[in-house]
Formats: sequence, structure tokens, C-alpha cells
Amino acid sequence: MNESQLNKRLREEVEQLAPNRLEELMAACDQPPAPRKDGRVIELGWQRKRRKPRFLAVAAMLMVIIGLSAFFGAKGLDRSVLIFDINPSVSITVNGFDRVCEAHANNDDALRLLRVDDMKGKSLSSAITELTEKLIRAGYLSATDNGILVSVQETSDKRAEALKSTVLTTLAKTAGSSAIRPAVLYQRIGDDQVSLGNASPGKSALVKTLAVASDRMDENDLCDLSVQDLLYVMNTVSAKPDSAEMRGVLNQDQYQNSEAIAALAAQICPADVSADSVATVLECYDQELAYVANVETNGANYAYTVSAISGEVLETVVTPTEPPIEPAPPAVTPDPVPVAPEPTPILPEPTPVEPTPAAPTPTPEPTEELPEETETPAEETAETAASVSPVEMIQRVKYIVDVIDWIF
Amino acid sequence: MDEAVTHLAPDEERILKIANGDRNALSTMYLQHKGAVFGFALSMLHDRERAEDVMQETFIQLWNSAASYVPRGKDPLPWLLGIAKNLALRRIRTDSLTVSMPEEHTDPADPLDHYLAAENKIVLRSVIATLSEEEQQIIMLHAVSGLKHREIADLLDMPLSTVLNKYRRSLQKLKKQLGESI
Repeated sequence: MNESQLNKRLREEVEQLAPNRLEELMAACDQPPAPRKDGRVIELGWQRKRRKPRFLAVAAMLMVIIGLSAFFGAKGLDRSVLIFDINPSVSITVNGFDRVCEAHANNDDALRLLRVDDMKGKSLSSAITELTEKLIRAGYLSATDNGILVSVQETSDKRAEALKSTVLTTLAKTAGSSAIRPAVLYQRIGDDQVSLGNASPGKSALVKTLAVASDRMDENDLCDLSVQDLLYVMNTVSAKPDSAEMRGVLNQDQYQNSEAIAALAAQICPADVSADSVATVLECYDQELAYVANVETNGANYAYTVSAISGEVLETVVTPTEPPIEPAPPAVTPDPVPVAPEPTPILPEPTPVEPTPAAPTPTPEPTEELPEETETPAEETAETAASVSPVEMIQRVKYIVDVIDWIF
Repeated sequence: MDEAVTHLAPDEERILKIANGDRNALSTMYLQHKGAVFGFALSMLHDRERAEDVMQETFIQLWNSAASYVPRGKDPLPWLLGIAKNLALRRIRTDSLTVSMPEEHTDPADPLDHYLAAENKIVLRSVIATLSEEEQQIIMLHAVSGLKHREIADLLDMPLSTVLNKYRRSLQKLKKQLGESI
């Protein structure tokens, strides 16, 4: 049972199972539906209480803040930005004490997933734990989709190392408690890293590297892919940003490999071809990762675009090829006159060149009347002349003349 | 901000008629989409009677809230299934407060399983018995409701790649299961 048969059968079974309770529905809907609401704003009857400013308290707080700032010096003012990309993308700014100063949702998925304001003031470990747990609950991070991209904007090597340790340890611990082994690509990027479209600076840095390494995918294509797909592309094209380090193994079970795609293309191609002769290359097709399998045959080239995930053939392009070129185009023969009467037994092998002149001669005795001697049926001569180049013909005639000279 | 929609999908026209109190339009919508709504509810609730209830409530809700529908020139089935999803989630919440569920629904002794076996619903039975809840929902929404993977991703709040992966894995599981049972 193939996919469409299975879907059809399931649809039929569910339709049969679904009861028809239309009469009950009609009875329940005997009242006219509610009219459209006009969206008026209802004023609430309360006002926020205004508190009297407590100047002394404010002044004291300011003093405390100034004192603490002076005490901790620049450490508290240090800022490192960590960008987490799975599909939701979240930027977390931490200070020198690993406290979250600011969190920002970089895309709609992140907005739906979490309230970034809740992260403020938490320790970096707590924020990562919370983020990871929400990603797991929402299905973004799982044993199947285990790819995470973490990008850090930090100029100090020492600080970047410390952050890396915290991030990777926390991610592994939190995901591990849900039996997930994350594959984390940890990279350092510059503060001036440009964002491509809606992608975060971290994802953009990875995309730029992959676009250079890939023949068939540009930055726009790659920006549409999930981080899991990007990491798969990274493994496939063997390219990685210079400052990046991979921790863990990316789960690639969900992807079709190139050998399977080649075998599929060889199977569905109408011509008889082997999988070894099929060339495959990764590309993006309608925001989806796909392989293009090229099959070259004598009559046509077949290009099959196959989903790298579902294995479904998304597109087939057949291009007729040019007919094979003859080694010597007959029409180009410049002057057939002197060489036209080429003898049928083209190569005068040494065997008939025995010194006995009376030997096997179906032809008359060779004389200087070469054209008469080599007389052959017209069509055969024409065919021979058509398939032999002029230079070769001249060489053969010379050879025949040499042989005749040698005999006499 | 409302966008100007120049072309309405047929079901959108029906919803606008329902908003004006057209019972025939409601009847047409019910007969056309009750299977899709029921199948989706069944994949969430794993109980035939509760799925039926949600199906009925969904169309009652359609009748009452048709006026709030904003036409977009697209098939409104995902919107209708969104109503069904919310009702099913509400049902799950209320039932969990009142009913204790000591065993998994996919237990072999599940009455739904027996019922499906008796009704010779081979594929549906395999779906219920073999697939996880999310996989069931994805398969139902694609096969029965005819939703595209992108629409399913939006409806279930999942990344598109996750939906594609789960769909592919579900098909493999079903083919294996059906290959053994047929």
C-alpha cells in the first residue's frame, strides 16, 4: 500500500466512522448566531494609584547603585551577547556576573515560545535551562531534531571560553534529562556581524560560510532552512565557520543519504542506468532541503529533485541531449575528386603484398590506372568515402602506391 | 489591519452566510467537514464519544462565532480545525480534573481499539495503535483533512521540518504495521 492509497483508505475509514448528527446540530443552532462585534474599547473604571515620590529612598538607592558600580568596576558593565538558534532564535545579553541583562526574541517562533522579559535578572544557567525545557516541550528540540547553534559576541578569549563552558554544560545537562543528546555548534562572531533578512547574526554567519561552500544554494535559500538542516548541510559540504566548534553528533537519521537518492533516481529513470552513474547535489527547493539527482543518458538528461527528508520526488526535468557527433563529418569533405575511388578493401594488408604478382587478384593487374583498378560498387565507394577523412584517404593512396612500387 | 480580499474561497462564502443565519450553509459545512473535524478530535482525545462531542461543539461554535471570521481568500478549514483543537484541549483539561485515567489509551484492551477491529477499520486502528499523539494528529490532518504540511505546522505550533519528519516516520511505521497485518 503506497502513501496515496494509505491516505485514501484512512480518509474513507474516518468518514465512515464519523457519525451524522446533523439534526442534533440544527436543533442546537435554532437561535440566530451572535452578531459581529464592533471592537469598541471598554473603559475600565479604575486608575493607577499615584504614589508619592520618596526622594530619600530614591537617593539612597542611587547611592547604593553608584557604590556597587564603583565596587564591581567594569565587570558589571561588561556585556556578552549569546544567540541561541534552533528555529526559535533568542538573543541573551549577560553581564560579567553571568546575569541576564536583556533578552530578545529574534523571530515569531521565539515570541510564541517564551516571554523574554521573564529571563531578565536570572543567571545564565537558569535562563538556558528554562529556554531548553521550553524548546523540548514545544517539540523544537528532540532526539530527532537535536541541532542547536550558539553564537557568542565577545571580544575576550578568556570570557568566551568561560561562557562556552557554561552554555555547553547547561545545554547537555538539561537536554540529557529528557534523553536528548544535543549537537551544538558553538561559534564566535564579531559585534559587526550583519544579519541576513530575518536570520539572527549567528545564523547569518553560518549561512555565509555554507553559501560559499555550496554550489547550488545561495544565502537566501539557506536562510530559510532550519538550524538542523543547516548543520546537515554543513556536514554534507564539509564546511564550518573558522571559529566554530561542534559538540555532539547531529542526528541525520531523518535525512535521505545521497546513495539512496542515486538509487531512487536510477530506479525511476526510464533508461537503464546504474546508481553509480547518478550525480547528486544538495539544494533548496521551496524552502525545503532537497537533492538533485542528475542522470545522463544517450537521448536525454534527467534531473530529479527529491526531498532530502521525505524522499518524495518533488520535480522531474527531462532535457533532450544533442545527437552524438560523428568522428569525421562527411559533408565537410573539401575535394572528393582525387580520393573518391578508394578501394573497398581499405587497408592493403601485407598479406596480399606477396612478391608473386599472380596471386589472389580478383582485380586486374595493378597498373598506373589506379581509378579503374579500384573500381567498386558506387554505393559502397560513397559510403567508404563518407566515413574516411580526406587526410586519411591521401595517406592510404600513398601507401597503395608505395606497395605497388615495392612490387614492381 | 484588514486586507482587501478580492476572491473568497467557497467555504468562506458559506461562513459569511452562516454569520447571516443561513442554516443550509451550516448544514453543507457540517456534511463536508465533519470527517476532518472528527478525525482530528479523535487523534487528540483517543475516545470516540468525546471526539463526537467535540465535533458537534465545533460546528455549534462555528454557528456562534462565524461573524468573527475574517475572510482571507483561503480555505478556512485550518481555522475550523483550530476551533476543534481548542475545544479538544479544553475537554482534556476538564476531564483530567474529574476523571482519573489509570492506563494509557493505546492499551490493547482499549474499547476504541476493539471497536475499530470490529468495524474492520484496519488503517485507522493502526494509526491509533502505532503512532504517537502528535504523529496521529499530523497524519489525520494531512490524510483526512487534506491540510498542507505548512498549514499543519501552523495549526500545531510546530516547525515545518518537524512536521515533515514526523509525517515521514509515521508513514514508515504504518507501512510496516500494515505490511505485517495485511
